[in-house]
Amino acid sequence: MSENPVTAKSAKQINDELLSSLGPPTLRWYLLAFFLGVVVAWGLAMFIWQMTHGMYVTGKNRPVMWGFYITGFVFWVGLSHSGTMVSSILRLSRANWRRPILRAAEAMTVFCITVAGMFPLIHLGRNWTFYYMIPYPNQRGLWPNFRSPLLWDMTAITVYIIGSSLFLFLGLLPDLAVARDRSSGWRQKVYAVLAMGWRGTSHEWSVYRKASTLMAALIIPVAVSVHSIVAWDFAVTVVPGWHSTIFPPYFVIGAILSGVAAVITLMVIIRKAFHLEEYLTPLHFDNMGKLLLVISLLWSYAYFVEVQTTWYAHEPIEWEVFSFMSGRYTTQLLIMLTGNCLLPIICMCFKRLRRSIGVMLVVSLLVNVGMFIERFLIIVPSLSHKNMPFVWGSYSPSWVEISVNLAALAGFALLFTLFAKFFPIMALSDVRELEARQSGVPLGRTRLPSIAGEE
Amino acid sequence: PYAVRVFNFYPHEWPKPLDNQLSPDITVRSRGVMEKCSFCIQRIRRAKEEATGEGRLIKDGEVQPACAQTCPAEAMVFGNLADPRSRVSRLSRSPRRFKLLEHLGTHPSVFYLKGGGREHV
Repeated sequence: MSENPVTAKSAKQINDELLSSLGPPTLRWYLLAFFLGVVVAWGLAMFIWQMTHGMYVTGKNRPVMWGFYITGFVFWVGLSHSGTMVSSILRLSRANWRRPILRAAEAMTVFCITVAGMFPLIHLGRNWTFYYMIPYPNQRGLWPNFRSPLLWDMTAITVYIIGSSLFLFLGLLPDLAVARDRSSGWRQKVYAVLAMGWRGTSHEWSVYRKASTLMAALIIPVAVSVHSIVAWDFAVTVVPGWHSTIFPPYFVIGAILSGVAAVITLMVIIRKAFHLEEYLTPLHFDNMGKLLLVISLLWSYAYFVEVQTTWYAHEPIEWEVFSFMSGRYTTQLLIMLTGNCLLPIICMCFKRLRRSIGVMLVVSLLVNVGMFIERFLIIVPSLSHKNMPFVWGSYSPSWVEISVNLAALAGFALLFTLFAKFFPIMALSDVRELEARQSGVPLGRTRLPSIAGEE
Repeated sequence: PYAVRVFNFYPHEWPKPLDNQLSPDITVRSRGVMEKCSFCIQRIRRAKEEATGEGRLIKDGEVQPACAQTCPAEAMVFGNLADPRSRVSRLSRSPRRFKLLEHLGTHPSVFYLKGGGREHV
């Protein structure tokens, strides 16, 4: 990579720069954490209000029993596919430009799925009885219904949280060792415990490499199955507009789109916040932009296919749902199509736009806005105009639901802020591995690579 | 029956004498619980227990869900669909019958009879 200025730096310099975010928190950090904490506390207060007063504080009513909470749930599960797709796939395809992006993407996965896992609990009519879903012998005579996709949800999300946390922790081990060696006091004790005695021997590195590759390969089917299971929440019902076999692949593609866009947004933010301009170069944005183009094309095709098969079959209730959706929610539909299809496909075709940080930020934010609207437009119009016309109704979100969704966003941002303060936001060992691989030994008139190895 | 699922959004209070309408056989659903038509399962169970206790089968028309019992026009008939001689079985073979959402393969247990019938004559 001729463009990589990182190779000109020494190891110490790279370490210093990438670990600069681990210093004592500045006033700016405290202010940000405080602001996010306030939003999260407000959301928590709203949730407690809802729990003590009743579900009538939300906008849900017969027949639309799934509103903003389930929209938020599917949206955050979709976002959690960022780390899997970016980190695993790029790791397995051995693309070098993955290195600065890995850590942020993996951390994003863990925090997104944690936030997503809160939503089914928030959405329960009797939140305090959530433990009914856990299969243990009890005196109630109840056993969870394994035929219900909601239970498959619980299983899948638990597996995904555990899997992605392990994936993140595995990648963090060498970096935690570097942080341990450079810190003192209580921090050093914490890092020492977390680093699990990593000493950087060649045996440890070879085990690490094998384990990372294995985890990267294993987390992909988990991610695909998690979002397929969430899609089956809808697809195994008989609600018109949901009763379609395209839902699992459609949701997985949507998740990849939303995840890739979120990683781009995150890249822009951490590049600015931690002064990592030399590590996250326009080349990385260029490549992520190409990825975004491909996924956006795929998503547009999937959406087109869904609409086209509905139109072709012309089954009365299915077409009625689609007409209702496009008639009542026209603005939202147009915003979604612009954000998910038009903008990414048109803008990402041009190298100059892909390399422009501002354009990437706007496009990626609009993709995620479009994806949230898309989840809403799948859930609410189908429920509003279900099979029996005598229960057709409408839905509008209440301030409780909006607050909880905003608090979820703030909660994710808060978790990420805390993470970035205590753990290196960039995969230190990966970046230095590239620098080591590319550094050469002068021999006569040539420079030979100093490290022999497969790449 | 479809679309009779009701969610208890509010905590309901039943000041006297409104609590007379509550059935003593089943739990009163609290706030946050979903409910729907259960074909008055408590009455079916009670009838089965009595019949087993007396060593006989349930007679046709012995079990009446609350809706069938209340209806002054006697528009609802309940019984054992598996017994071909019961009134509900005979009515379910009527040429006037239709089911809702049959094309979805949900096998509903409710048959509706279109107009123009003379069964009561």
